[in-house]
Amino acid sequence: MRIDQIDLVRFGHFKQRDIQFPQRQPDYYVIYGDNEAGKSTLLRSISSLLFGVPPRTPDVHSCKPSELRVGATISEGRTKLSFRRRKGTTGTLLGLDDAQIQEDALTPFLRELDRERFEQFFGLNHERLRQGGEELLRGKGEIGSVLFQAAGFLELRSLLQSLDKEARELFSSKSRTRVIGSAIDEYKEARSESRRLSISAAVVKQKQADLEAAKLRHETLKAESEGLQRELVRLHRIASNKPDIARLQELRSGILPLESIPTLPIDARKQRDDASAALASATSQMQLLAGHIAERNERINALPLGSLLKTHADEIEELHAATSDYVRSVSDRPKRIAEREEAIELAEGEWKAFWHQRPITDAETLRITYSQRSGIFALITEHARLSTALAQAQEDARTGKEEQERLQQDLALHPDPPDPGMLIAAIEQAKSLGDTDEAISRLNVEIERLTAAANRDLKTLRGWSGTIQELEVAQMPLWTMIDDYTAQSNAIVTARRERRTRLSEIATEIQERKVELDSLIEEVARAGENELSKIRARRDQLWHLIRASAFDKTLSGEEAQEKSNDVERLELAFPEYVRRADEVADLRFANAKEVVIHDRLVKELDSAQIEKEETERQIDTLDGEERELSARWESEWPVLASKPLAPQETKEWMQRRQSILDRFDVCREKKAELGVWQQRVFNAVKHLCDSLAELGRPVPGECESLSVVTRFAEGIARSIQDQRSVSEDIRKRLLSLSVEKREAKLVESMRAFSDWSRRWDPIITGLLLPEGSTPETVGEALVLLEKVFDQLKDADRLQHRIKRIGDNIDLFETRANKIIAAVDASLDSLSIVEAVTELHVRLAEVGRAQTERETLEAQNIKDQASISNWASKANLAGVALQRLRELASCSDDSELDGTITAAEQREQKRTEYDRIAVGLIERNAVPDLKLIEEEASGYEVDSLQSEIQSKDARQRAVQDELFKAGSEYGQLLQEFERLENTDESAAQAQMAEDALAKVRVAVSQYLRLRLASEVLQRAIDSYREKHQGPVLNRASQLFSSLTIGEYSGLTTGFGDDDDEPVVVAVRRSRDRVQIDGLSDGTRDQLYLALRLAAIEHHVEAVGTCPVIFDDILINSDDARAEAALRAIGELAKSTQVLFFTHHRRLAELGNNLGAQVLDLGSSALLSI
Amino acid sequence: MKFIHCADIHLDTPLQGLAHYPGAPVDEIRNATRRAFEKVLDAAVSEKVDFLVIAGDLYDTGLKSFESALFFNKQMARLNDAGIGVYLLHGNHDAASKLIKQLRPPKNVHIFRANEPQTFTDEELRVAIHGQSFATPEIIDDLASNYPSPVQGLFNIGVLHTNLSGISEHANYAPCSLETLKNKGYQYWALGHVHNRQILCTDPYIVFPGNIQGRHGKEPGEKSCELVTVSDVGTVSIVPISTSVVPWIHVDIDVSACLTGDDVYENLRTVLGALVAKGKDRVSALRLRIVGATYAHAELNRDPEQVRNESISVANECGNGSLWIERIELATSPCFDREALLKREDPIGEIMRAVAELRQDPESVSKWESVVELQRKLPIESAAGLEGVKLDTATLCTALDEAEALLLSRLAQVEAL
Repeated sequence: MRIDQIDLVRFGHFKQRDIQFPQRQPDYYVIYGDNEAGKSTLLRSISSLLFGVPPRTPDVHSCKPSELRVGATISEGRTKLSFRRRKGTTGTLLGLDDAQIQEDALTPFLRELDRERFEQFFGLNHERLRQGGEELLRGKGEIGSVLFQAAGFLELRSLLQSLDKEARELFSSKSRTRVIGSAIDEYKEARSESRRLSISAAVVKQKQADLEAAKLRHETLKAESEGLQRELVRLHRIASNKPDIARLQELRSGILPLESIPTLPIDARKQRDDASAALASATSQMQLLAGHIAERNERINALPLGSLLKTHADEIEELHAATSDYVRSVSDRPKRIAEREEAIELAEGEWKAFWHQRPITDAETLRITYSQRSGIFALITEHARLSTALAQAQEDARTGKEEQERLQQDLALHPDPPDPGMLIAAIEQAKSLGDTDEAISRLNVEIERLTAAANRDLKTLRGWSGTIQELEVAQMPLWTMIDDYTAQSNAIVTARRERRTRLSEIATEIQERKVELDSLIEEVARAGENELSKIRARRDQLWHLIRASAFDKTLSGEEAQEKSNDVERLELAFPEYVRRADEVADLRFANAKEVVIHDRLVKELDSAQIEKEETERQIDTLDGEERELSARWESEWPVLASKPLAPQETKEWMQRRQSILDRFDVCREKKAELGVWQQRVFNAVKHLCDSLAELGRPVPGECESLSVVTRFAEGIARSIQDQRSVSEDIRKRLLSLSVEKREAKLVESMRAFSDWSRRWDPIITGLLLPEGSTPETVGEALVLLEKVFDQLKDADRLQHRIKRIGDNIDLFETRANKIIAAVDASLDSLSIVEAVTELHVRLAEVGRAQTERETLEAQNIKDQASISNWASKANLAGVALQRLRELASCSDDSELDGTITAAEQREQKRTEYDRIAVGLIERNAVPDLKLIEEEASGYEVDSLQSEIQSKDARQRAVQDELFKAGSEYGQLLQEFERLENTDESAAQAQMAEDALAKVRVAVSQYLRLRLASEVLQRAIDSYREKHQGPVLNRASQLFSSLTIGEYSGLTTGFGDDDDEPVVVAVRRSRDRVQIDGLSDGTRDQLYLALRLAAIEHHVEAVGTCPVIFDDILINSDDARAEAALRAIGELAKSTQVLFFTHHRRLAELGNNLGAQVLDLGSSALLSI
Repeated sequence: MKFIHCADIHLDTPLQGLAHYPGAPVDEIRNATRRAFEKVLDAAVSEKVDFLVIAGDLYDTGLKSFESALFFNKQMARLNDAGIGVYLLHGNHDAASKLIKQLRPPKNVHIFRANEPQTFTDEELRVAIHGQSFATPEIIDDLASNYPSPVQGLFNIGVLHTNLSGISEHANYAPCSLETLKNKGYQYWALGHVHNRQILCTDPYIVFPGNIQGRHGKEPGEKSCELVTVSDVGTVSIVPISTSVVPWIHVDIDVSACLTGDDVYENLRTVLGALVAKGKDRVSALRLRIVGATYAHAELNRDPEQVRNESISVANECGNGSLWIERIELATSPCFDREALLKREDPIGEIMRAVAELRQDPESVSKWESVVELQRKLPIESAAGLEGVKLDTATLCTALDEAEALLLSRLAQVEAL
């Protein structure tokens, strides 16, 4: 895929900017621009075009996001696609008409590329170049990493490290402090804690029993305390009743003498006081109100009436309101008259500019023609268009004829050359072979490398000093035989290891049994089954001897003694053995359990001893078998002169041998392939030379390479095609001239002009203009006429207004004079406005007097009503006083006062009696006062107190006990409730589950990281196997070029730390330099060489794609920069290259090396 | 007559799969099974039911502490005070439990014997309740077939702990056919053992109420007991009463319209906000699954732990301590074609092929030294249960998918030119 053109419709600061990249060879563009010229924007536009505009783009600052557009034409072979891209998430790919098109329209061009891959692999800037150099150093040139880095994946090493680090933080088999280890510990701890905190049934039952006992004791004490408390309450109640009962008796004797006083209302005193006060207050109020009424009547009589003004009140108000309009009209009238005269003058001035011989009144006759002015203006416009068309038609006809004559002369000078079809077919065939020089060179290098590697491996093959051919035909043992030996050897080693392990276990078991035996009591040791059997056997032997000598008489006493082999006498020794046998038997019975263990241990010890011996014997046998097998192996391994290798080593040796032989096979295949390539080249050169000879062109020498001959033939073919295309072009241009069409167009233009003149003449007449007036003059006259009509219209409008003002002034003055005469003729001496104002002031004063009169009259009516009210109150107070006197049977007020006082004293005593009696009844909860008095009379005060004290002391003692029992019961109850509510074991179980969940989360993380690390490592190895050869070979050539020969190329070697293969640079002097021995600049060049080689390889294997370099040579001197630009130019032969720079010098260097330079800062985007 | 039917209480068994993190509502999940059981009893008291039926598995296997039995007894005393009887049957999990045998419950608790079917009759309520406890944890006989014939004139309830002919993935204990139960002539079958609610028949009612509190992510949704009302003429109506203290919720969040990680978290915030509003301040255990083909795929997969931490932070912010993120499955897919990547001639193609090769033989991964060492360190019992930690093929295949996504996203990390 390549980019043919980019159209920055609206993108960043660009607007309607079109950049063309026409197909050329090499396809090499240097895009030059100062800082801020828009290089970065253009770079971003390429990614946005192909893969969509990123959501947070900086390129929308000069337009709305929805208006952002960037377009392009891209091509793949002969297929082209023109499209646009808008900002958005879906459906962002558009046609040139902004209609949406399917995203997969780009798939045939992009193939499997995505944005990240495109930017990582096909884009390179200075920063990434530097980073690439540093990554080579960090990876120590390990080939797998190098190839990944060359493919654009720079962060590889840090990614691998971070994956391993993150995984190690989660789990390590050697540490328990990592996340998973600690979570497992947490889990185990919580599980164990849960078990520890679980509650048993016995504990629960004991707690229940304790609780019941405490409860019973508490309830007994509680019942006693309650009985005591009830008695104490009764005694205290009686003691408190005593004073109240004494007071009741005293009150009864006080009430008796007051019984004869008449009964008066409870508030009799208050009634008498209220009535006297009300009578006095009413009398004083009535006097005060009568005084106020008299004062107001005097003020009413003093107010003015003004009845004549009231009759004309509405008219005076209207005139007063119209006064300001009247004053304004009087001052406006002269101004409007002056304005009207000015408008008429202006109209006449305009009119005279065109029609000065005629009066302005003739203007009305022009109105009919003036009303058609839109048609007249259309004719004026049409005149201009027709004039231009006529002039253009005349010019076209003239130039057409001249061009026709010139082209006919050119055609005569360029005849057609012969058809170069055959030559082009031969060139295509040659090119289809690809870069044969490179292929042959690559094969040569490959063969050389393989041969060298095989020879090196051969030298390092342990114990072998022969040639490769000898190695190939050398007699080798069969794999099955080696496997048999290996299996047998392994079986022996395994069996021996198992036996030794078992031997060690047996030794441990014996040791343990012995320790266990030692720990048993001595008696039990003495009471073993063997001991018992021995004693019993001896006892039975002695019994047989006694029986033989004493009962059967088969032996004499001496013989029996002799046979007993005992120093003790037989009759004494036998009872001793009987006693000892019984003793051992008793011992065994008493320690039955230990005895059984003892016997078992002894048996186990015996059996372990036997097994130990058997195992040792087996080990000896196995040693013998191993020696025998070793001898057999040595006799069957004839290949090497020295001591034979072990079977496993031999397998490895055989594998290395096979690998060397495989490499030689590959080398042979490569040589055959080389032969095929050389034959193809020869045939292609011959075909090209034959075709050139047929066309009568010179033929190059036979020693020239295919690429040279192809380029020569291409030059010839291009030259012939150019000649053919020139004559073809002239013919096409002659056809496209169309001279007849141009002449017909001229006739048509002249006819249209004549038609226009016929429609124009009546207009001149209608506007009273001289004959022959031009369209411009008519246009000006119409504009002027419009102004005249506008001025005349203004004059009419002003005349109408002046008349309306005069009418208003007359009406006001007539109405004012009439009212002044009716109300007060003396006001004639004032101006009409002053007279109206005076009348209005007087009318306002009359109004205010009327309002005050009405207020005073209303207040009088109100006061009159109050006087009546007070009179009725005075009457009521007198009646109340009289009624009280009658109730008390008194004739005057002083006697009434004494009677009220006596009645009040009697009421007080009765109230106190009732209060005390009710209190006693309520306090004692007894309805009958008599019963209370009787209960109290049964106790003397002194004996009552002593009984209370005695019961109180007992109650305190019981309370103390009750408190203790209650505390005890409460404590037990709390404990039991705590048990009922406890969930500690369950809580720990929950914690264990939580820890397990933590383990699960961490395990999933750990697996993800470990797998990612392993997958990456495998991918690196696999990628290395596939790409090492072609990429490193090409990188070697490029590296030599980039270092201007300071280094002759690259090779592979082994690193210091391990056996990983690494890339090594080779100096011109053949010295080898590891990556860490290169300078920073050289490492950058190495990275560039690798990157270019990887891209070339990709382009060859997958297809073309634009490659973008962004100012990568800013730190290079001219010589190195030129070398780099040249190497990049090589890449541009196979795919499109866009090299961005802001250094004019680099742009010039690029130009010298065949690149097309585009100046981004120039508005026209000029090529330099 | 009213009664409550519940089963599979599994008192004091822990909730599985919830790893602690700062801000997680730790205290709220403690005692979840106890508080769910209290909810059942609250309903019994407030609804003034006549009795409560527990159809097996009151306790969990291996539960040794009497603290659970004491708690149960105390709750039963509460029902005794309210005059509510309890009919309790032992299932496979509590058949061998010493908790009930050694610590007798209050008198209102009637336990079905294990050696033969037993019937409790209440003449006043006109009800006969038939049942048989498990004698041992593994009963494979059809217990229902030996249940007695219905008592004529009474409402007959059959209480049974069964897997009903392999109806669920639970162990196939006391199997019997639906036809056996239908033909028995009882009016209601109160079943237990299956943990999700199922009403298998309405004439007669044959009901699994499910457990009262989900114990792990594979028991999601609201859990309940059944409030059964029997009218004077024998018609039956049942109403489920919610009992979950901490419901387990599975939430799928489609992020296909998201362009960046921030968009994803914003989306998550909206979804969780709505969830919290709906959840009425109750703590919920969430299993989030982030799905959809999205441009944010690479960013999310670059650091899955970061996604977990961010999601937890959003949950804390929205739930204010009422949401516990149990697990986050990052199941987004990239906007690329896997088949196309497999064919690529570059390192990405190599990675895809290396993963594909391992995917063919996940068994080989289990033999890697690092995996073997990890397996050796894990406690044996940690692999037990539905949420156990297992290094099996399924786990390794999931890890392989995650590793692939991780590598692709980290390798795609590139600064634009």
